[in-house]
Amino acid sequence: MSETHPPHVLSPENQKSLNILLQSIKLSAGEFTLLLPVCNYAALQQIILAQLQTQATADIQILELPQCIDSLYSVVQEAVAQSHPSALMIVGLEQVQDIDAVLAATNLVREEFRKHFRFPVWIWINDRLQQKLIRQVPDIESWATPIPFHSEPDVLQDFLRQTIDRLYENVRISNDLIGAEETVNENLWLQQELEAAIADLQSRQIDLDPELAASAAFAQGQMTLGAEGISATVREHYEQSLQLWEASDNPIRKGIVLLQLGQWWQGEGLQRGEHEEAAFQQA
Amino acid sequence: MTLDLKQLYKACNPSKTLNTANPSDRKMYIDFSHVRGNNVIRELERTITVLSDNDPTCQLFTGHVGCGKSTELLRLKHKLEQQNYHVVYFESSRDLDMADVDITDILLAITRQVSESLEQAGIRLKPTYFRKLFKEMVEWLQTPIDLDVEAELSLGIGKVTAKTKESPQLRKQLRQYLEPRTSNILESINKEFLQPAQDNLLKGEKQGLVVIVDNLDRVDNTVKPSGRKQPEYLFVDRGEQLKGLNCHMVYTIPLVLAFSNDLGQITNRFGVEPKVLPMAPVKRRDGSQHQEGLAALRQMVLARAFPDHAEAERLEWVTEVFQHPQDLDYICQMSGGHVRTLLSLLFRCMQNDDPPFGRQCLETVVQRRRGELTRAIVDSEWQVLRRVVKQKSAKGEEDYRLLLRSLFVYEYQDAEGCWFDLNPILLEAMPNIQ
Repeated sequence: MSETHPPHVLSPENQKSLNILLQSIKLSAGEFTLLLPVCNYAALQQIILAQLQTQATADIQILELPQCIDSLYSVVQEAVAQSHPSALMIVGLEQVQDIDAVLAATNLVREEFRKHFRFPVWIWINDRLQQKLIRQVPDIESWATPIPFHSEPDVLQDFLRQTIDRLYENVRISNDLIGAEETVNENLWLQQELEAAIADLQSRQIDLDPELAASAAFAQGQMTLGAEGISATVREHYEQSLQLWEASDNPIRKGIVLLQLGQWWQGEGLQRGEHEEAAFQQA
Repeated sequence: MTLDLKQLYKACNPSKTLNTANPSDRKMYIDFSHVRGNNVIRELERTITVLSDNDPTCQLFTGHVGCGKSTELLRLKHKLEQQNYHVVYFESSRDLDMADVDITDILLAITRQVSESLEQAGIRLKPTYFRKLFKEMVEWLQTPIDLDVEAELSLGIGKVTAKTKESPQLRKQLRQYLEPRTSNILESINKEFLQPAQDNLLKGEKQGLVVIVDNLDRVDNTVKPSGRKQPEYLFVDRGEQLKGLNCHMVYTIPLVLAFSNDLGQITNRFGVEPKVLPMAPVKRRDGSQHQEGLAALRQMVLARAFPDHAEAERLEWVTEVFQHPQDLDYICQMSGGHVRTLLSLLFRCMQNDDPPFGRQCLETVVQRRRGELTRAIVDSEWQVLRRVVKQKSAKGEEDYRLLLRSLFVYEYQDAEGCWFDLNPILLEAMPNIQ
């Protein structure tokens, strides 16, 4: 997603979070501290990273995780074996394969972090990963301090608009409508950002304009379809989107939602033979 | 009185474990045993020093994430050492792969740690059985391990475990060799190693040998090829053998076992119930404030700010850290008596602001944590959480997995037994709470 702010200006909240990271180098004074910068958007992360490099006076080592690792500990150990950084920043955890196993393995040897890495370790995560940490590895999570980085609401809305425009366009030109969810799924990261943006705006109680709200509901339907298949939640998102489109004048988009809903009923009918007729009628 | 910010930041780091053997840590240690509702460490200690009558004992210890298990075990070690026991404390997660542990791994890890500690005390033992065992083991593994059978026992085991910790294949091979020999190994550890070791210690006017195995509560829930889950396999099916070591043993066990149907069997096998370390209470079962609990938590915070001062003095300086004394009470209450949460909230305050912390800073920090936890709870779980709030109880593995492990629910103890309550941070987030 793109940030509309000039990259050198951070919002006061983000600058404050950045200061907390920088300050931790001074305050940890030779001890292990675990901080978790939480950021849902790759573009924002890039901006923060760039700012961090400019504003830091100490030597910060950056470790980009490969997708295939067994445990965070061994990777970090190798990375800092020859160096003595003032702080270590780890990026890419959200893209690591078999993340559950990696987290479990890391959790088991957590004392080794404390004993061997006598500097602040910052691991970038997103909301989704944070929830995973709380549920699956509360031991290591309770050692850590999350440091939130947020995108401004207008930036989020722009991002939503652009991404959803692409989504509609893809669905419109695709012949195979049910298959169109792949255009979102093929980029899991983008999908996570889209979900986070909708959730972020909701939690900050920002009212979307009706068209964007209708589009967002449709996008949620598409994403749920990708994740769950033909479920009731998918239908609810489509129906909600349809209802919101009723109020506005955009027959093409409304039509696309209708078509997807029809496809949903058809899929539902094929799945559950006994209600086939009723389902097809709905379709 | 000026506050040393760097000192306080260090002292509040939630990843730090206090070790009372260390004088500077000892100043910050607050004994919660009079408020926790049971005095687990004293019970463990008395079983060894008073009740054992010099016979070996075997005890089980567990507790929730971050409520002070390791700190209390290190304190047990310190107290026993003061009474002239030779105590070997070790974190088993260093030697074992917690996702895949077998009885012989634990026996070897214990032997290695004890032998290393004895060697440092000048006691060198070379059991003949192990010499033979090593020789055969290396032949069996067909892997180049540079084992000098004349070298120290700890070194030999260390070399083998280092090899097998890395390679699941080698580990499997080693187990195939060791498993049928388990009773011989156990017998040899007892007769050729632990017994002479203790004879030696007694001659040196020690009271005896105690082994504390920390972190064994981390063995995870993986299912063994037999179909049994690892914790049940180790502590129920093979409990007899863990109990068979001829010295004072304290094992940490996974907390889930205290909630499982196997609890009765474990108690049978070991002859004792696992001892659970409860939280420090901030409230009583009836919802009224627990003044003593709160007072102890206040001291825990202030001891980190003013480690060199007496309790009464610390209270006088509370406004160096918080704008009002009530602010300290607020953060203690929000922690629910979970010590790591209390530290973590303080740590976050320090990152956001300079002391003295005002109510707004504290509330922001609490609100943020509430948001993080709430996002991790799915709608259907609120129902279960509501039940806990109402009934003050939690039962079974499902409740444990769902609620206690993620610290959504805390466990307390009073004269009537254990009771449960919602993590106070979550109370305001609970939908339709009456």
